[in-house]
Amino acid sequence: MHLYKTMKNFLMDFEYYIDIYEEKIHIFNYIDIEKLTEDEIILTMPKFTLFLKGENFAVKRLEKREILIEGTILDLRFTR
Amino acid sequence: MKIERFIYIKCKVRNKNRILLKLYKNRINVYDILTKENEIYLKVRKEDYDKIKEQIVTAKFYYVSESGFFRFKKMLTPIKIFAILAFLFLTNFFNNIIVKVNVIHSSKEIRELVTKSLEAENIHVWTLKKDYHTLQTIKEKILNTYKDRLEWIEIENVGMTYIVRIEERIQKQFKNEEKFCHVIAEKSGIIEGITSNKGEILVHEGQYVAEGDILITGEIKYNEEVKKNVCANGIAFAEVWYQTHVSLPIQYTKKERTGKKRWNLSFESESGKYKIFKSRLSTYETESKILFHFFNFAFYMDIEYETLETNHQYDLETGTEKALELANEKIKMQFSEFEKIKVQKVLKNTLNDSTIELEVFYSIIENIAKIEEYSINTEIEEEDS
Repeated sequence: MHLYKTMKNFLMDFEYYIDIYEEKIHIFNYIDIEKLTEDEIILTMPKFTLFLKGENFAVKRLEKREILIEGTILDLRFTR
Repeated sequence: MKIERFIYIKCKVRNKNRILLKLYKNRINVYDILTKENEIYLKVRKEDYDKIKEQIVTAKFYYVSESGFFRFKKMLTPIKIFAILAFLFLTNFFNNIIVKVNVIHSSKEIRELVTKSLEAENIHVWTLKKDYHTLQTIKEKILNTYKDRLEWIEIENVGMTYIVRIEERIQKQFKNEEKFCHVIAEKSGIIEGITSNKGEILVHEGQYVAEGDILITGEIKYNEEVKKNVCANGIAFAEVWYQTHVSLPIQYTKKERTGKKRWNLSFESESGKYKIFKSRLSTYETESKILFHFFNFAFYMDIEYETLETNHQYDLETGTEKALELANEKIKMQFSEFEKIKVQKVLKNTLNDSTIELEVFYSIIENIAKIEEYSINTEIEEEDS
């Protein structure tokens, strides 16, 4: 699924995407990490800022354009 | 193609996220992150390791291990490779060697004859197994050499043993003694169909015959006079009636798989099959797959499926169905030659405290022909003539 999305993104040139799973969130093409704690993460995206609130957040993969976070998501918001 | 080299490094920190943010600010990719109490394990590119040590001085990083292909490569020392190759070679060698040639026949002379022939073809203990085509050629050669002694030979490979089965050629001696026989009814019934190879049929379809009646006679008559006596033979299918009684316990235990399974190993020797590890399940069913043979031992990979036994009770309807199945099996075991069950009828079914009693009537089409010899007084016949 990830490979398919990566290929789709490459071919169709999406700006970003956010995948939410049971206890995981995968964000592609973020710009910056503003805050990274166990219960709050703030990411700068191309057109908005993403706020994540939850419990036991743990980063499982961290790359220049991609981040995979594990934990219980309680609140997800964005502001332009 | 260059394979990217990844390594695992560890670092003792209190605030793991701070280290991750520092790595992010230094544009260092982290491909896997594992946390253990005050330690954090990171999977990074090998070339980034020096950069991390240089740029993040607030924490101390330690090299843990290689990752992926390079970890595997590092694990494989020449001794380990040699041990694996030696194991594979020995397994293959012992899988292809013969430790016993078992020639099966009641005659000692035939056994010795075949054993010598096989030895001449290089089939004896401590030799390598032959392929299918070579075995076929050897069999043909032995059969051609002893045309008058051997009828058929089969060489079967079971594990590390060759089992040789032989059929001796029996020279038929034609006897001048002539036998005369009738085909009689073994049981009473209504004839459904009758055919004869020799002799004269005396009954017709739909006729009732009693036990002992002659169905096909060996006396060949012409104008009411016996011209010739033969040994009659044939088949006579008749409708025969039976009544059977079955008793079925009401309580029964049903075994069901829970879906839980465990792996185990076992070996089989001449004395029986034994498990290598103690089973972790209390009640289970085992399915085995053979791994390899080693001399007279066979090693198996077992899958143990956990089972749950539950007690159930039949009601009269389902109990009667089950008892009827048992009655059918019982009747089929009792009469091997019957063609089919024509009619079956439950005469009586009663539900007792602990059993279901069933009485069933059967009408069965079966072969009732039985050959019975008879003798003729030739002297009287000669005098008469």
